[in-house]
Amino acid sequence: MIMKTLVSAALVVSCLGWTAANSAPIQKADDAPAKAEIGKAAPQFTLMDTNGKAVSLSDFKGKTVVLEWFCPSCPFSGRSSGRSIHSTGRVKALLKNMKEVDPDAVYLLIDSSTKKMRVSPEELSKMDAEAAKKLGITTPILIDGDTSVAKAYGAKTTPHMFVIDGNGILRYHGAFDGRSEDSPNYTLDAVKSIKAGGDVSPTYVRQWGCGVKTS
Amino acid sequence: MRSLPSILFPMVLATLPGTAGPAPGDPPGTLPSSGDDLVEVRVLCDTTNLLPGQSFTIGIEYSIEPGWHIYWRNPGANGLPPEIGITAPEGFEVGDVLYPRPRVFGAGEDASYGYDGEVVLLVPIRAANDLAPGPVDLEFALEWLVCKRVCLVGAATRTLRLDRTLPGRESTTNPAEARLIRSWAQRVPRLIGSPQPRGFFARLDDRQHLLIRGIAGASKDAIYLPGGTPGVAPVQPGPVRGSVTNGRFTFDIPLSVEPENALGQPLRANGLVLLGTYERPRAYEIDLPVVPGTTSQPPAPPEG
Repeated sequence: MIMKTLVSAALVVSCLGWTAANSAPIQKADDAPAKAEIGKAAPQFTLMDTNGKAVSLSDFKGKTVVLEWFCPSCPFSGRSSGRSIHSTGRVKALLKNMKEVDPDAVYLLIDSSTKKMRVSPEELSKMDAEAAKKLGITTPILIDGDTSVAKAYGAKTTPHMFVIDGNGILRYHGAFDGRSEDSPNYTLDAVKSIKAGGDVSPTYVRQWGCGVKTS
Repeated sequence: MRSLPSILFPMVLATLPGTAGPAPGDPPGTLPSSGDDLVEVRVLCDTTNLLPGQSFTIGIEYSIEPGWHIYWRNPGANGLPPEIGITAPEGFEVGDVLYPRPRVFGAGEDASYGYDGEVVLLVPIRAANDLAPGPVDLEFALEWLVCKRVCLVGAATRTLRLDRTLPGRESTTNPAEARLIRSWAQRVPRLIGSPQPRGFFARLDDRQHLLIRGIAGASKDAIYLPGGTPGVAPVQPGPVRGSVTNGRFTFDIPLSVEPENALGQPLRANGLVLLGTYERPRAYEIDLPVVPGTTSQPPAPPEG
């Protein structure tokens, strides 16, 4: 499928402080040439959130992790609009349902919009904090300052969802839902299947939304 | 058709200090707050009055601000196609939207497909057989995503009033709009087999391949754009360049076939073969059922 084969091996950001973490390029943790893909290990990362706290994928070993690619100017994502998955309450509904299915599941937003919006990581962080306040977002928003994590995951749109199981295996990526409140929520379906110990199906649904710019 | 979006607050990047500047070429502070300002829409019709049961064509003309683009039915790596909601009187039959050949924006797995400048999307309609005398109103609810570096949603509503032809009279056309609709209709890709190119499947390297062959004519390039059907896609995302030799083109496209991702829809290899240029296009629609693991008989070499 369009995004099934994901690029890059495990990645790690140095997290010596806010400025260092966001201006230093993400470094490869190893030279493993294998491409990440559905059924394989998800790329590792450590990024700063909008509060200056370092967050690593490895912090959540044993837990299902949901990643949502986010952009504060995108009308499907962090910009308040009748189509935003945040301002229409679809993310809140997902979080509520997800916690009922799996109370330990983790939901993280990642913003890789520095190149698209021509802002520094610090400026993007402020914009995201402002958007979170307006939209009532309480989940962490991680700043992918040099867009390396977006490249590693092959994130194409905001939103673009990735669901990783407790063993660090990528089990689903693609669309948040079918673009309406009454459409299937593929993200929730994946979390349910992982919790039940079954196969995730579908593993990919074509993503939709604003483009993620990584170059 | 869902309700139109409401843009509730001005664009974030226009309100925060020290944030994104305008896109290249935009004077500071001129980035629009909604896609309404970036695309003008007009509803065209090739006829002015109708006979009962008459078939006619509507055109939705999008005039797009330079540098921005809207999307094809398969937007590619990102984006969304325009939404066209039509409310017609009872008994009218509204057909599927016909999309002219799109352009390619970007490259490789990041490529998206759509239109810049001007485009007319076409909608075939058939009037009710028991069309009553008097005016006929068609209501249009239009939405679009328009992107450059950032994306904005635009929306508009339009009403088209037509009249039922008086008894004993012929239907009359709108010559200017009919001409425009005809010219855009020529850019709508023709379905495979009319009479070429031909597509079939082969199993090579333990993977299903879509093979397409046809006559390139004077075209030096042949491009395949995947149609975005769930569960079937080229292994390498994005547009595929075909081989053109001696006036004939060939595509050999390794497919990823994943029934679990078909969302309950039939597996189909769907896409466009693009020849010629955007302005003088020749384009063919490929739409073939896929049975995982099977091959189909290659057709006879194309004539000519």
